[in-house]
Amino acid sequence: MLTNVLILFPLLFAMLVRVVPNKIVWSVSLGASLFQIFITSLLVYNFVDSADHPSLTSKFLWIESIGAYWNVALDGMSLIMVGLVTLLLPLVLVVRKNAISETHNLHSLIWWMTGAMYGVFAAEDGLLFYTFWEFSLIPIYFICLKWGDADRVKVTLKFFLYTLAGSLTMLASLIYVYLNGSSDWSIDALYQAGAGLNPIEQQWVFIGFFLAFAIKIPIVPFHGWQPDTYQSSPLQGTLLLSTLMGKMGLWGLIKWLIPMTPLAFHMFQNGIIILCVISVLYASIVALQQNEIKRLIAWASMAHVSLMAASIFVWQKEGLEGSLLQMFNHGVITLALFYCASIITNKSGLSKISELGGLRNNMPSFSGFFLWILMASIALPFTSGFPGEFSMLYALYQYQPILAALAGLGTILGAVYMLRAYHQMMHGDSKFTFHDIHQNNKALLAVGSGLILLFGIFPNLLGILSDETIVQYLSQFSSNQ
Amino acid sequence: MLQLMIFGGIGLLAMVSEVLGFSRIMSLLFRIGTLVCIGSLFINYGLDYTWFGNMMVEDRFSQAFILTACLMLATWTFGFGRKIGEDEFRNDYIALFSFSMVGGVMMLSYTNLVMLFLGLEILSIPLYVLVGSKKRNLKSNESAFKYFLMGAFASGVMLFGIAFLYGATGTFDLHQMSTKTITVLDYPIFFQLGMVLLIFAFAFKMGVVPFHYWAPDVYEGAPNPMTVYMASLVKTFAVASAFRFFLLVFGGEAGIYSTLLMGMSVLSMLVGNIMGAVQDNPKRLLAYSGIGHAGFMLIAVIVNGALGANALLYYSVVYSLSLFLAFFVLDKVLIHDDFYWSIGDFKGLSKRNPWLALSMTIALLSMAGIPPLGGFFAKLFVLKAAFEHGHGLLVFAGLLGSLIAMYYYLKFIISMYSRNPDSDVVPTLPLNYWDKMVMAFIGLTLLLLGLFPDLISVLIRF
Repeated sequence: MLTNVLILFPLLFAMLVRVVPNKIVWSVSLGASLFQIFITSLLVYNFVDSADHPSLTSKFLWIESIGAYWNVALDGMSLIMVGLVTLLLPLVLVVRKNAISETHNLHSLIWWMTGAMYGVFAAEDGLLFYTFWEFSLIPIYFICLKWGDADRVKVTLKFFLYTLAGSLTMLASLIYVYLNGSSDWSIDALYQAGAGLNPIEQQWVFIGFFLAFAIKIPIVPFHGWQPDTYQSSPLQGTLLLSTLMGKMGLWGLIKWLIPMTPLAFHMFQNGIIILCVISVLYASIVALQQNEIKRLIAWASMAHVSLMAASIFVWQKEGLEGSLLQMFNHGVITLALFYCASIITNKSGLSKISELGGLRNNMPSFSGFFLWILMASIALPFTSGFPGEFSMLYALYQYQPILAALAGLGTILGAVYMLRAYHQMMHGDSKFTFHDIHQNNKALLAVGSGLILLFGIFPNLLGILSDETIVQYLSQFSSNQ
Repeated sequence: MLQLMIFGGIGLLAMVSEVLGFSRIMSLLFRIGTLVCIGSLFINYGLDYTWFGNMMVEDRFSQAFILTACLMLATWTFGFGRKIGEDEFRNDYIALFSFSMVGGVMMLSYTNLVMLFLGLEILSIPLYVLVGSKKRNLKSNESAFKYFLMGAFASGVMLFGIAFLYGATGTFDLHQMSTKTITVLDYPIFFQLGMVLLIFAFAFKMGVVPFHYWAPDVYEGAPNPMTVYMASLVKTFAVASAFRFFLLVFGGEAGIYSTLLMGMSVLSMLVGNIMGAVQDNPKRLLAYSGIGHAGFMLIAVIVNGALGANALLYYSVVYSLSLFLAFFVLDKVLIHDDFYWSIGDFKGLSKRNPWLALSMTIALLSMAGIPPLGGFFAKLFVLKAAFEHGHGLLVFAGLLGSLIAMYYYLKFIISMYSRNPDSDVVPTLPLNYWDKMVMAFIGLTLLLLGLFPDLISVLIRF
């Protein structure tokens, strides 16, 4: 029951926030996000108490004629994703609070998108999943369209058409699986129906789903929309896209694609892992040549999510654990990185790395935070980037050592481009006259850095939630076959 | 039958109302008549009646479609009635609309090809007049003339086809024809020829490729209330009557004829949407998008049976409502009367009037099939039906068409939300409470239908 509150409250609040006066909208909205934190903590508490606590699930008949249900449930894996959304929501809401026009419209869209994402992670019904999946696309489109930079029209059009194309192929696959099942959209029925298809059919269904998820993640060669969109979106849009929206695609791989088409999964497994590793290397090499801060982070982020996709496709315990851990931590790290980038661009008015220099002299405390976050991004031990990366490479090594070595090369390249960028921007003689960042910014960066440290030292905080679920999930998968 | 009498009676009354001096209450009578039709259908729902010696049968199919058509007519009156009410010829319009509804009702409940032809003519002739009702306007005249010429030709083709069918089977009655098609015919070539001609005539009325050329011209020239009436209700009548023909004669998929329909459907979804993508005039754009939607509805006709009927009913209702909303906004935005309309007229609409921009967005997203608006389930039901009958090609074409359609719907949205209005336009577009109520009603209905699609599909359980 509580899960319904978690999903529906943001959607309700998205409507309410429009009538809140512009002056207090920021604080009201932040207060509401604290309510979400409260609900999420309660859910986590209930889950730790008992894994099948009644507050975690809810099921009602929705559309009788086609057998669709409002069917939401949270398990150890989805709780991690829900926790990520809840944790990042206030951070996304507070960034640059004075620098944006029509705050209540923006907040309404952010809340709308949050509700839809909770729905995506909690849905146990195919139709409900698709509805939320599409439902989350509209607000982010409008955020990018209304508050983006000069290129926004072209870029958002490309973004929307890319993602919609993926969604439509997924819809076709979903309907096909549904029709071969027992007139039931629930995820278990779809698993059964999918496993019952013959290999050729499974291949087509697999491709339909994979396109949708690969575009969302994104994996090379389905990434055409990503760097442009990240660059031309407003900061809030970039944060939502990079930290949360890409995770929806990875979540789809874990929850929907692989268990639904086991035969096709075994056929494509090798090829897709290779594709993902290529994607890691490609994105890293392109990132080496970037001169724009936002684009650099966008490509680096692509390298990371591709590695997560690769380790999901290894489909064993360490790989899944590592990628879930990394999905969570990558969200926090990327948010902090983009936030740092926006501070640099706003302060100096420049976005080219080569034009910047000596920022450390102007902003000593900022440069400290930035370095710490950067270290997390390149997976230094004791930062939260490390444990996930380690498990993923470990899983990949067990699958095929050469692939692990190639993917590890991506991490090394990551260190090269990140540290070089840091060196160019921060060291040298100062060209600017501005001073260190404001207290508010410091507080925000401190929260991000603290989270990075916390989950770097105690990665098990997340592991205790997900471990059992993953083991159950994998054994269910192998028994289904 | 009651609906036939009510609409016929109102039409006759409206014609004499000026002379007998009760012209003021005519529009009220029209509204009451529509509501009585709806009420009577609710009361008699599920009971079968036959009329005119079995030439018209009121069954579940026709009741469901007549009910929704009357509901759509009521919504249409709610939205556009005031605009028509301001015209000095308003009672003539009422007569013409009533008569065309008579034709529509006949087309939804015929079991005899004579009735089909009569219905089609009674539907079409008032439309020729309505399209040209702006009689001093060149474009309106042009569109009426085009529509009349093409429509008369299509009627001829239909009559020709019916004659061939009669020659081959010896009957006008669909049930008897159905038993004849199972046995071996003496002259199968006559039957085939008749079928092809009949399908072409239906295709013309639906506006599917390759018989779609009239649609953009006619939609552009006709006054907005007439355009939306043609694009929603008349299209529904045409598709549903074709559906009824295949249902009663073949009882499901119709072999080679279904293949012909399939070709038209695929072409409509692709050509309609590709042509729509290069349009700049909003009315022409919506006309081409309507061709694409007609292709979608044709999928339901091909699949046929209870599955197809359900999908078609839902699709037609949602499409009509979306179109009402889109044209309502169009009518408020394109206020300059020179026919040089473009998407540029929508520039910065969110700043000029956020209500209009929001309504247009809802209408377009619904037509594009984005959940949780009604259009999503409309597409889902149709695609599901197509998949269930193994028509992968139709599904593919439908999805591709939807994607292209999204491209040009987004052009509107981009224009409304991310451009600034031109300096020479009126900075704000005022709306009264009535307008807002209309838009809120249609928009919320679309949302409601998207959240609870079963509201409509209960109507048609055979």
